[in-house]
Amino acid sequence: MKILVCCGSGLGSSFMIEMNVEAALKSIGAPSDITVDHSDLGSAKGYFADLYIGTRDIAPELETIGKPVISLDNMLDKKELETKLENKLKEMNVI
Amino acid sequence: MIEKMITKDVVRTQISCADWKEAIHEGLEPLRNKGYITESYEEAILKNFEEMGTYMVIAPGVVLSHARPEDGVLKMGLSIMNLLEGINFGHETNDPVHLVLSLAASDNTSHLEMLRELMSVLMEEDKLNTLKFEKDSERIVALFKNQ
Repeated sequence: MKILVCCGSGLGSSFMIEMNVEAALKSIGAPSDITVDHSDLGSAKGYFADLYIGTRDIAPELETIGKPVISLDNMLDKKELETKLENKLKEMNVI
Repeated sequence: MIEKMITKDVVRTQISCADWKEAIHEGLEPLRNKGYITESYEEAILKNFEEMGTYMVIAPGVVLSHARPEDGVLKMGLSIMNLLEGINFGHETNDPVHLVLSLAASDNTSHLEMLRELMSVLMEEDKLNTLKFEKDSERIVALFKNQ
């Protein structure tokens, strides 16, 4: 399964969120074959991920791709990410 | 890596700004002074805000001001500025902003280690509060020692 974290520029916030996503996946006991990558919004559509993650400003754009999206209010909040990730992965029957 | 980059000359505290654009401008000042960025870098950041909204306000009270390397970065750098009074950027949940982090990345990867180190400081609440409200820039520089 592929997760893609996006931000407007692809070199700042998306990378920081990617680090947190990897830690969160471990915390919630997700399968180890899930890959996480980061990119800017422009490249997101061509990436073909199974799940997209972005902050609330970017989320509407990500939603136009038509795949599941997690929207974050606070990029630094581990709890928010873990909760949303766990819920979404359960919805997608990955955990 | 970040230890070397956060020195007193890139930290400014209790700066007074009239609005968010001025906060972005002031945040970039150390990078401008050191010749790390061109004039067009600030324009690119402001354009990002216009086109993509307030996504750079990454957490309550924190803005990570940045654009792409090709928008005018000459050398990689980070500057830290906190504001005398919080300023609204128009973000639904994360206003007002107290901490302005200005990042100049010279390519897509060389700054990632630095961001990793910055992240671990930002994730600790008491250190984040120091960054947002501390008047003494030495104390802010000290946060990044032995990261």
